[in-house]
Amino acid sequence: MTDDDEAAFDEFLAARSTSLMRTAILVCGATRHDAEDLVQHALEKIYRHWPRIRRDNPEAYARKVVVNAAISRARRRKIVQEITFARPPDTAADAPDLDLRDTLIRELRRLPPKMRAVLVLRYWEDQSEWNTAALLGCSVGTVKSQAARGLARIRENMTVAKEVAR
Amino acid sequence: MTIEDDLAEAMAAHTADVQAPPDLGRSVRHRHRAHVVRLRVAGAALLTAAVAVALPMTLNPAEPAATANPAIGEDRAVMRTDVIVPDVTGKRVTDAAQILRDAGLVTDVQGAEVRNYVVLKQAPAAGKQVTPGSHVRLTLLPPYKSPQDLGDLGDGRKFGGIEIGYLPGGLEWGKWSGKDRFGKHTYTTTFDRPENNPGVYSVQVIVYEDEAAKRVYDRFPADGSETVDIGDKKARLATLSDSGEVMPHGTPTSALTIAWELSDGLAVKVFFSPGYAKELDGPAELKKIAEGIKAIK
Repeated sequence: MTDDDEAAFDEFLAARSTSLMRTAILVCGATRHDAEDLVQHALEKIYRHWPRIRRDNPEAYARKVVVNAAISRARRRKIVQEITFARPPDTAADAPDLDLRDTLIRELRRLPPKMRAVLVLRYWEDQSEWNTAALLGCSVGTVKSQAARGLARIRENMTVAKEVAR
Repeated sequence: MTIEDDLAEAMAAHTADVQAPPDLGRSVRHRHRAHVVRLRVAGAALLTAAVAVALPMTLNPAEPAATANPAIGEDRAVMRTDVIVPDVTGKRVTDAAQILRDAGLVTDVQGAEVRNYVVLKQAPAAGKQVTPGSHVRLTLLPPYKSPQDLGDLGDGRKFGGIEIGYLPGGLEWGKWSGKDRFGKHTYTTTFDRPENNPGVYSVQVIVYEDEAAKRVYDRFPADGSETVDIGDKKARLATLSDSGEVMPHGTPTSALTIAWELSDGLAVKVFFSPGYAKELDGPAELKKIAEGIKAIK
């Protein structure tokens, strides 16, 4: 790794690391501390291959590593998450005065990890369906169906929440 | 407004105040160094496995070939003339070249002025069988420049408000120190054996001061840990994985760790590298080190 490589890596970090952390937080539903750990882990992978990939769209590579690491971490924690976010079926979903945004984020967290990743990439990062598919290593069809199903699930839960709150 | 827009807005609001920490680059490079060390450990295991497989087959050379499947006999002949590629990852390039030469292999390295560089990767990998005289390509990493946040610590036994009274024999101060690398108000250094490869520690000590002292048990679950008395304080002792899970003693890539609160607002964590923990009675020695640590002002 040359000094030039090192400098380019620092530049890359300065430009992209905040955005990578935000993606990690949204996809794995983790705390900031965990997200930082995850991003560090991903960036270490990038750093390892930096001289080879720096001229070959390192951003896409980094995003791919972060998103996939976030999905697998979220899967490992699934049991814990389900306990945290699940609620008994007959209780009110949310307090009626709860902020819409908080509710949306909570519903987002209750989705399966990959579905959540699709929604984050498509609607927050504004990636195309094609790009999202490439990042997640699945087909465009899967992205379409996961996005539609994810949105439908959130919408449905929101409606239930509103009706219960009424 | 559609639910897509609502969701995008909620996600933006949820992460608006998230900023990457300014020392991220340093942390990543630090991790990278740790990774190189882990690679070395994994490579050694691979080589051992390859030797274990190869040995029984070469031990019966006298068995008549006629009774065996001719194809197997042929394989055996290949076995005995081939060279098993040794693991040289994590070693200085000059040492690696010597080891490969001794094994009858030729080293390929790109770039000049790489004398102090460390081997990151090798191809073919350790444990592969190749013909003598084959070339092994090495990918190199510049020597890691250790941080010197606390300056020259002499023998390294006094730093961050503590004094280390006891260390097992054969250890030297690692000639580096870190400040705030495990959160604010933390201090750390290592004690290494002089024959260790670059960047490989034997014992690492972290001091957590003031509000940081509360975080000494972060990623150190009480569940599964042993509770031991250090003076009149209770300490946790366990072998911990990278992500802070309690593992059986001797698990590779996991570190035998002790942590306790030395006094109000002063906590200490000491751990052995996975390799070092195997060389001595880990828990007993770790406890002895802990008992020898005193607060100084």
